[in-house]
Amino acid sequence: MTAAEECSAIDRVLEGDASAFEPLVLDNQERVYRLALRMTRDPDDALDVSQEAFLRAYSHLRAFKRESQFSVWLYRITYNICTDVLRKRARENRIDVVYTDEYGEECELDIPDVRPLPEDVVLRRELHDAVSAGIDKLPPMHREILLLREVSGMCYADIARVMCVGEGTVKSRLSRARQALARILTVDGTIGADLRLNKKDVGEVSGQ
Amino acid sequence: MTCGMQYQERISAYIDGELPGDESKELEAHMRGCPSCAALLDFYRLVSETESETRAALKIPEQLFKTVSERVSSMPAPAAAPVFSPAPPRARGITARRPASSRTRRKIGIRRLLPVACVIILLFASRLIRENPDNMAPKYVSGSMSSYDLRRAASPSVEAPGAAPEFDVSGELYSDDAEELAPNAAPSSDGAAKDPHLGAGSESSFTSGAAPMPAPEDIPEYAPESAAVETEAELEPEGADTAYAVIRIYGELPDMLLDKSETAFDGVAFSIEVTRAEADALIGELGFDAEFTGVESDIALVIHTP
Repeated sequence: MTAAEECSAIDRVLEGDASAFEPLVLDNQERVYRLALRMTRDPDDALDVSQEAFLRAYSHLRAFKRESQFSVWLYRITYNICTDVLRKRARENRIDVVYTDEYGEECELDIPDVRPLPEDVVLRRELHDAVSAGIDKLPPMHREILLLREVSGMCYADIARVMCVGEGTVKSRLSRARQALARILTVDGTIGADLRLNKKDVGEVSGQ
Repeated sequence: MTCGMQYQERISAYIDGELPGDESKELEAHMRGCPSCAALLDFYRLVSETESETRAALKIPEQLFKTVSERVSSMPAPAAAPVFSPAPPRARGITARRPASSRTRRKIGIRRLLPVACVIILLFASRLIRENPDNMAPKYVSGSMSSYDLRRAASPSVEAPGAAPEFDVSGELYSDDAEELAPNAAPSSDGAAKDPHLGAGSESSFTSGAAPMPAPEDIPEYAPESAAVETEAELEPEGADTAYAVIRIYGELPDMLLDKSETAFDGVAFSIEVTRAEADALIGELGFDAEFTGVESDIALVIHTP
C-alpha cells in the first residue's frame, strides 16, 4: 500500500466507511502480530494484543497526526499494549505452558523435539533458543528496543517515534542492549569470551 | 571486549545500516585491524539473522483479520468520536476517548478527576553508581514490589512483595540520567500535598510512610488488580536530565501529554521521554501530590490518592 493509498483509506474511514479499514489491517497485520508475539511470547496474548491494537487504532484514528507512516503509529499502539500485557503478566507471575489454538485444541509451548536432526539444524535451533532466551532476560527497555529493531526491522527514526526518545538515545540504548545480550550469552556459554559461537556436542544436543 | 563505547555504538549502528557513509568506511577500516570489534560485528549479525529466521517462520492467525473486520464494522466511525481532535476546542470528555471495546467507564474530566480515584506512580531511576569509564556493565534494579516500597526498593536486591493496595493508574520512569547531578539540581519538594483535596494528612504514602490507602472508587475494568509493581530500571552511563517514563492514566489526558505523544490514550500505558522541567510541569498540571527526586533517592514516586 502506497502512502497515498494509505492516506486515502484513512480519509475514507474517517468519513464513515469502516470497510476502508480492512486494507490497513491486511497491510499491517503481519508486522503487528509479529511484534506482539515476540514481545509477549504467547500466541493467545499476541492475538489479543493485535486485535486490540487495530481496534484502538480505528477508534482513535483522529489522533493520528500523519507525521509518520500509519504503520509506525500502529506499532507504537501495539508496543504500548504489549507493555501493559507484560506488566500485568509480571504482576500475576504467570507461566503458560499450554495454549488453545485456533481450532480450540490445547497445545503445549516449546516442546523439545528429541528426534534426531541434522547437525546444522540442531545447532541453529539451539542458537535460536539461546538468543530468544537471552533477549527475554534483558531488562524491559533493552528488550523492547531490541525487538523493535530486530523483529519489526524499524529504522532509528521510527523507533524514536515509537519510544518517544531521541534518535541518539535509540542508538546508544540499542548498543547497550546488544552488549547486555552478549554478556548474557557469554555467561550461559552460548558464546565464548571472544564472542564466537561455542560449538556444542551435537550428539548430546540432539539426544543421540 | 572491544575498543570502547564509541566503537560499540558505531558497530551497533553499522549493523542496522544507520551509520553515515564516511563513518562506515572508517569503521570498516578499523575492524580490518581489530579482531575484537570484528567479532562484535559478527555477533550482532548472528543475532539479527536468528531473529529474521524466526520472523520468516511466523504464521498469522486467520481470525485476526476476521475478528478485527467484524468488530470494526459494528463500531461507530471514528468521526463520531472526536478523539484528540486537533480542532479547538479539544473535546475533553472521557467518553470521546473510550477505546473500541465494550468497557464502560464514568465520564470524568481530569480536573473533576482529582478528588476521585486517580493515581500516578512515576518512578525515576537515577544513578546508583558513580560513572566509571571502565565499567560499562549497566546496573539493574529489579524486583516485585509494592508501590509503597518503591523508594526503598530502588536499592539493588530489595524485594518487598507484601500486601499491596490497589491503584488505578501507574507509571514508571526509566532514567537515562547517570551524570552526577549537582545536589542543588534536585527540585525542591517537601512532599506536601499539592492537591487541596488531599489535605494535610493525605500526602502520599510514599512520603508519609506506609499508611493504608483507601481503594479507588472508580477503577476501570482494565485497571491493575494490584498495586504490586514489577519495575526494572537500568542506570545508564549517559547523561541527560531526562527520564523515560511509562505512564498510564485513567481519565482525561492533559494537553502536554497529548502534544508529546499521539498514542497517549487513556487506560493504556504509554511511554514518553520527559525532562525534569517537563515532569514538574506534568506533575503540576495533573495536580498530583508529587515529587521528582531522581537525584537523592534513586526513584521518585508520584502519587495521588483518592
